[in-house]
Amino acid sequence: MSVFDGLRFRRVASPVHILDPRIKFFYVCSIFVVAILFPEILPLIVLFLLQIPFVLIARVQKEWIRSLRGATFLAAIIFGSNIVFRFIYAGYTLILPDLEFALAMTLRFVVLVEAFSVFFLTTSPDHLGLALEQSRVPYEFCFAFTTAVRFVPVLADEAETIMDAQKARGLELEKGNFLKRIRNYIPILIPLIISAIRRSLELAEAMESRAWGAIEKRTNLYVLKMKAGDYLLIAISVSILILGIYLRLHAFIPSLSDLLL
Amino acid sequence: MNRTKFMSTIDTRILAEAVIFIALANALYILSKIYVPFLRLPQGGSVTLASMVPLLWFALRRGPRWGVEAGVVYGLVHMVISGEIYYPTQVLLDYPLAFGALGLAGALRKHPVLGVIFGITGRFICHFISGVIFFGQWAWEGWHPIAYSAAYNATYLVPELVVSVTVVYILLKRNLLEIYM
Repeated sequence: MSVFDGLRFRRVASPVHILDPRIKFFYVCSIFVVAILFPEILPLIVLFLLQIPFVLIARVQKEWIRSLRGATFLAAIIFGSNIVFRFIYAGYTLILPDLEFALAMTLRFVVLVEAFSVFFLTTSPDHLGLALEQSRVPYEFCFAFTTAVRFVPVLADEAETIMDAQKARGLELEKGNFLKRIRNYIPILIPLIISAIRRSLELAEAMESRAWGAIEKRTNLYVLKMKAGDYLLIAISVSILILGIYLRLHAFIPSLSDLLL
Repeated sequence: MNRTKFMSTIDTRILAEAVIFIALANALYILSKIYVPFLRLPQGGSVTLASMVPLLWFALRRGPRWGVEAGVVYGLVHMVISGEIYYPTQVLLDYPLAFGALGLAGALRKHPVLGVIFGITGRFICHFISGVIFFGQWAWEGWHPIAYSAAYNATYLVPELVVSVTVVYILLKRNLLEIYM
């Protein structure tokens, strides 16, 4: 496993990746609101299936499945505890609607997780920084955010090099009790911090030599502009919201067990 | 061209330092996924290779205001790079606010060890509230969300606290806090 497996975003050229992050966030929020509105299982199944074309268009299936797998443990706890609670509450008998309710709760959780994971899998940190900037977040924050994201692999690489160097000199990291291990970790941390400070001085020099902060009103080479896809996504999310609220207020949603039996 | 006015409000060197230490903390977090994977809890949260130390150290060095701001940005970077989001309130509570609270360590610069404990307690409180909201939402009666959230977050934050306090204490003894000021 390399350092880069720890980073989540993959650069893929797809129609979803170039969408405006703010619109994608709005989409995630509308999915969330609708998911909270319905405790019934049918609309939740629809919401779950609704996101699959999104994932396929973005071509992030592998990472998406991995993130769902990460959520299975919690999903199992939610399912199990709901079943147990209902089981005890109903007097030690399990009926089909109870099972369905527990399933619906689990599915609601999975829908939320998948919506968020799609957002983060398809939004590049640079885009997010731009979106932050255009949402009037102070520029220092956006600058710190985008630059820090870029420096993470560099510093992780350096930390690994220092670890290898100290191990080659006979530093033992895997021996001893907890406190001894912490003490052994110090010879790695000190060079790391010193070199990080030196790097920060270089960065400061680079920033100043490019007149960072000289002009208060900055302009960007890339500006987020609403495109056809963004309007489409707005339309989709607004219609999901309206449809969800309408169904909640005016329609009776049959439960799956009623339909089957 | 209001350079003098601008430069007095933002010091480029401090900002660059913040950027590098945010990145360093994230790098340590990612590395601990590789080197100590067995210390990870299934629902997020793990004992790491002192990944909070760069942030705490920066807060102690530059004061609480910078510390909190760096913590907030760290939270965002962490969320984007390797965060796990199961619930919308987490977007705020578990990332920007929790790590921003770490920066409070800078408020007690005279007593750095107490400062570290203070900062990590702040982080614990944010995770704790987030946990109560999350577990409360799924409505399991007979399963106390308060006790569960406290126990869950303590399992990884207490070892983290021990690691951070020890490391910061040793770094202070070597006079590393004032270096290159």
